[in-house]
Amino acid sequence: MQVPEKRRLSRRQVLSLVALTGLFPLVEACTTASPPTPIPPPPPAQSAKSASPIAAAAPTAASQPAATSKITLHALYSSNDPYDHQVFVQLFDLFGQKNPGLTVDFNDTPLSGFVQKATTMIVGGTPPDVMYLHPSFFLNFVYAKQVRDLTDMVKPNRSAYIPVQLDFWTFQGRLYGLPYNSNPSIMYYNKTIFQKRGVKTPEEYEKAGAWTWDQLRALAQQVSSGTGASRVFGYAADPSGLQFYTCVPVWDNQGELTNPEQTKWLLDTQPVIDVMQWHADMFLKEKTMPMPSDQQGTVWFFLTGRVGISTGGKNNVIQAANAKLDFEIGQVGTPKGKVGPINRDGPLASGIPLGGKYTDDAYRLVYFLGSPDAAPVYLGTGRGLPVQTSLINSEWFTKALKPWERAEVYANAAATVRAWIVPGKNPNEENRTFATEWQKVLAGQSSVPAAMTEATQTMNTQLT
Amino acid sequence: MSKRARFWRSQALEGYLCILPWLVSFVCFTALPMVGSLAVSLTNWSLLSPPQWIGFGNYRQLLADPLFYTTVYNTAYITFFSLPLRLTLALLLALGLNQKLRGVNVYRTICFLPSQMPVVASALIWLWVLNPDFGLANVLLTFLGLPPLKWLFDVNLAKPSIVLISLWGGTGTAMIIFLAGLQGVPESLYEAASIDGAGRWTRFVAVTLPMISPVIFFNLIIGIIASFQDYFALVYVTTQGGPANATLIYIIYLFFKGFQDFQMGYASALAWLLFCVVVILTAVQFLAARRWVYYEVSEGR
Repeated sequence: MQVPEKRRLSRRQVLSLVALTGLFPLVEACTTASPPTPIPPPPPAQSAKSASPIAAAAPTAASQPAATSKITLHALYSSNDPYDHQVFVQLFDLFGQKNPGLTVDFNDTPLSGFVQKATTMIVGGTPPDVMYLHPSFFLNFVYAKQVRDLTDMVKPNRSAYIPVQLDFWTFQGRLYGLPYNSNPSIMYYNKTIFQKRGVKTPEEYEKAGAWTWDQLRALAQQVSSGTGASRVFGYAADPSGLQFYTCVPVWDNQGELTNPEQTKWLLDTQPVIDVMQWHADMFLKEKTMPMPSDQQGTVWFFLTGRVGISTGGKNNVIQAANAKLDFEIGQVGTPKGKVGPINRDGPLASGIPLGGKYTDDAYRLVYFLGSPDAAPVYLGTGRGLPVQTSLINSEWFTKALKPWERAEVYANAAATVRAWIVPGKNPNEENRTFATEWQKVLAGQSSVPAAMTEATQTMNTQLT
Repeated sequence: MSKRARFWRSQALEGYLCILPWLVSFVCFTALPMVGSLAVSLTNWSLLSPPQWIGFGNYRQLLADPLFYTTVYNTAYITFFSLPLRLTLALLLALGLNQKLRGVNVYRTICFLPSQMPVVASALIWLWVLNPDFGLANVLLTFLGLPPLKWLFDVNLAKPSIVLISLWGGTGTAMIIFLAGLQGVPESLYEAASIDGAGRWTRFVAVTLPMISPVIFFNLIIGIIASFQDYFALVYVTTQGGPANATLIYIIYLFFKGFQDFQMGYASALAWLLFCVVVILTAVQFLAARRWVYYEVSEGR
């Protein structure tokens, strides 16, 4: 029998095959990319008849998912820490349980890379159905017309929300985000330090109606002591954060950071200069505030036990509770100045990017996150303050308070919130400019008036 | 077609097939995006909105931007202090580790190890080492009776601190390349020089340096190119360009403009200017290299 001759491939043929095989995945990768999703026009206003927020939030019959159909909503959010991540996971699970047929694909992206991720998804034609909104980048997406105008959709539910919480996400009269978290400023103080020094606590001054910025400064001097690595500082805050801190003492000093039209910065006006000088003196002359080099973040530094009073928020409670502290914590509201107290907020919201497929279901989710339905998880875990009126005295919220937390501090803080976020198309650039000028003051390279003048001039060019 | 030509063509074809995967990815992921970024640099583009053609507007804006000059100065400062120090240290280490010592491989590994550590991890470690309150550096200074320093938080010390950190992480790779170069120097040349009465220093200057000059040149070229781009992670993790812009280097500014401020056109203009500067500096080095780099196989030098 004749054995058939084995067919041998030439070296050239082998190489050609190898090269072509190598090309297949590449060609496939290039050709299977989904084409950009065309951006649909905003949906018409929904005509929900019910006054009940929950009923009104229900999607129209046409868009109601069939009981058997499965819809996955892609949610791009950013958690603060592993604990916060779990809160989101529980919330989305709860949403799935309450909305059969809907599941949430949770994409947890760190805040530092969040804008890049969201931008890439939107520009790539695969926007998430729902996305997290933070004051530091909210306006970028609004200016670029990439988040849906929710003004008409929210009409039936509008009254459910604390009005100021909606104001944060309103631009030129239109609403672009639904809040789910409120985090106004409060102050933490180290009770043990005050007791050891025999100094009256901020809480005592607050109860006496004498809790003022000047009193805070005096207390800071009384509790500051020591040198070097063991120095205890009276007060910790970061005045380079316009929105996250500085606006509060400025407003309390009857100052404004911008003109009412938000077309001009007013950092070189006397009330603002006074506030910044007040801080500069505490940093540089009295040394009652820790320099940025002394701390790794204000709250972290407070938790080391080396600070008398520190700014913070509800979101720091979990951090404080998990830390093994060898001192007692107390809470107090922000002080008052010539007026006030007027507070800021660290609000968070959900937006619906344009181009998503399931607008009604996405709305259902963004409404759910701040609603009473989500309260057992969101408020029950002590993560934030409510954004809806009916939840202000929620049992879920009060039950989650730690023994050292004071409900009235949160209530007062929430009641004095003023909605403001850094305006303009370049908030990051403006924040960086302000921080740089402030660093020059701390480094002794510039005086407060000169730094504020320089900041105003530069930031005015960045505002438009 | 002659047999020889057919043979050459088949060889060339195989060669091209071999490099085809690289070539395709280079064209798709490097060359085309580069051309694209040149076009983007002539537009005003926020990524989220359609780009608007503005011609050379970004380049004009760049020349009027004071922060641009700050970043150029900071980058030049760090490059021109860090690179010579790094290369000198690497060469000294390589010379030391080229000796016949007991356990020399262990020493080589130890010296090479820092360069293999992820930049973010090493930056975080240095952030602690240079912490003004409880960092190891200040403990050492205090032990020596010197006043503690603010290091990365001091406007005047921030750049030198970055140079210091870069020495730790960037010396290992250059050292290994120097070591390879040193091991390629024929022993016979040293013997001949010794017979002629050359001492250690003369042998180093007359034999070692010329023989490893291509390696020095390679490290210099790579070092300069990398210096303009490589400090991103280090600066981003440690100072984010602060304090008061003291460490705001070019590449960080480019990132801020592109991915924080959504000014992709301006960021692309910055990138192209950087590219041009790197190309010019590299070309100048190649021209200068004719005077001091010795190639055994070149035209007699």
